[in-house]
Amino acid sequence: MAGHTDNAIVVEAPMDLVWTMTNDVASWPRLFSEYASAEILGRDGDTVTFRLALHPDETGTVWSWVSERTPDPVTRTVTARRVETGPFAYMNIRWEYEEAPGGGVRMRWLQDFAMKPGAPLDDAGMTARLNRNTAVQLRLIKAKVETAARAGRQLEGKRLLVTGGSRGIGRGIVLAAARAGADVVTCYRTPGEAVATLEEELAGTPGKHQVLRADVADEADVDRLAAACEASLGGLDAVVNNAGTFRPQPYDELGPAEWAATLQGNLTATHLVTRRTLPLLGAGSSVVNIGSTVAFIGMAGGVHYTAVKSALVGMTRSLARELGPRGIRVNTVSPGRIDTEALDELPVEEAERQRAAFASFSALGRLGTVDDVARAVLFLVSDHATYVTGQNIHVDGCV
Amino acid sequence: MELALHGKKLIVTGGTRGIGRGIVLAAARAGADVLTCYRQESEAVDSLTAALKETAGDHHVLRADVGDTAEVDRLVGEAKDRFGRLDGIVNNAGVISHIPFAELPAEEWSRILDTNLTAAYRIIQQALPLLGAGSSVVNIGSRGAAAGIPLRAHYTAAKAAMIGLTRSLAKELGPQGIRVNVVAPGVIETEAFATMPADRADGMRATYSRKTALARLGTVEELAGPVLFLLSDAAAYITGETLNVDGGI
Repeated sequence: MAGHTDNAIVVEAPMDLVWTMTNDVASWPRLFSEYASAEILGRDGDTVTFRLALHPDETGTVWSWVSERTPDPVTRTVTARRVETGPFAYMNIRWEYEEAPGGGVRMRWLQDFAMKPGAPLDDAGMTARLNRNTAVQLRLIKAKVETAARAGRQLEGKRLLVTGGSRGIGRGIVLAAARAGADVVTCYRTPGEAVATLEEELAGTPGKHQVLRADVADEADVDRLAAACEASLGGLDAVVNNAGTFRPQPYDELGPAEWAATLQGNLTATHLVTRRTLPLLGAGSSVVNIGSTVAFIGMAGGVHYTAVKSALVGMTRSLARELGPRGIRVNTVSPGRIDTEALDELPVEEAERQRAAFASFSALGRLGTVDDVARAVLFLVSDHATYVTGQNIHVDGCV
Repeated sequence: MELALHGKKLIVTGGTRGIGRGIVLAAARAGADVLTCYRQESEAVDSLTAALKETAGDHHVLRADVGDTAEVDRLVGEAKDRFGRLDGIVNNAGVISHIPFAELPAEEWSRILDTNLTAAYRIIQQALPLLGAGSSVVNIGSRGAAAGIPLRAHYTAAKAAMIGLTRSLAKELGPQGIRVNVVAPGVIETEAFATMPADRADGMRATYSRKTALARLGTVEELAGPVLFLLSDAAAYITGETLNVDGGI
């Protein structure tokens, strides 16, 4: 009598997500706990050929084999078989997905096999082992897919405006919020490839997203931006004042025009946007201003920059007091040295030198990522921060 | 956002009442295994133990007076035996008294310092072999320490010291991937408000509501949220920081 296993689990997540996550073979080492590696060897139409390796077993042996599988998204079934059968005479696998009556997706894994004579386990022994392992893996995969499903819904229904979202930290915040289910409006000053790729990424992310041209230092543009938010989203649950620029300038050479432009583009812009979007913000909403850790430490060549970033902290304190009675929270996030595409634009050697230098400034010995900053912003916007207002949170690895 | 602490092993000191209890329950619900301690047997101990039995995970409620170094060492030993490693520590246990500074006895000064500050030094130090890269320590400070409060100079001294301890530890342990932060609560409505005379409770609520931007006290859940955030991987680049959870006081 040949070996046969039939196991199933219900995953509380949308069919598309369950299907995509479980059929992404390259991600199997992160999805399953038993696979140490999954290497794609080739594709032919929908059929994928790949090599799997388990973690070393009790004797230190690494079991590895080649399989091929063909997913059919129409029937929501997958047929697979071991190409390198090893101790098996044959091993055929079938996965079936169907919408469960109470909601969620019932994922069913079937295996039909026979062991070769002289294999370390007989059919019954291998059936028992496979049933044990499958139960463990199904439960783990269910937890991971469900966590991913919840992550994709955590900001569902929330409407965010993020200024300066085409590059760097702003772009990281826009994408993190959109992937968490929020509707996001962002703006940029200069058109270009960054804007085009952002629009593409947002088009592929569910939600009512908009990428608009606006110079937030200009009152008329801010007016237009706020009107667009009102027209497409009806109101806002959060405003993230991220737009801002500066050019390093030795203080002797810092002329009135540069000083004024830095003030206008960073500080006045935050005032213009916050004041103009206030009518769109209700109780439970929040404003997050993006500051900078250098305001706390000081930076030669950055007197104008640290002046405006420090000013934002004071602005945040008073705005928090004034808007608190309306139920609107206001906070600052001050990033340290963050790895953005700006570093990639430098000559390779200079970028490497800067990365190494900045990494050594922080206790954690690395640059921050835009995701590190985005997660702090999303935390402040979330219901986990409802008693946090008027604060300045440094996301800088401790400098 | 979901503050997921799936599979994380935590110590939370002083977790049977007030803010600590809120942190223990929130962490357990977020998927962590939690070991907490209390000084004296009480109904709060029993009810927390019962609540944790209903919550999935490997939880422990043990007796230990963290004001006593030997007991702290024993507590960390229990964590080692039961968990094998630690992913987070919340130094929450603390005591407070109201004494005019002119009358503050040496023993009371020491008692406050020992429970609030020395306990944190000892737990973190003894737990170092159990803490790996990605682990996170949260020290519960007090917003009152920066502001200053009459009759509590000993308490605010201890709580302010948490900040200096935290900054240096963040720099010293950062290279090992261990993060250390302070959460400084403002005025949080705990069950202590229910046991004090009603007019005193109302008076405090009115005073502190006036002083805060959000015009109200905080809840223990609102304090737990930021603590869980700092314990989680979502705060992977935040260390050496003091996060005030105070409604904008």
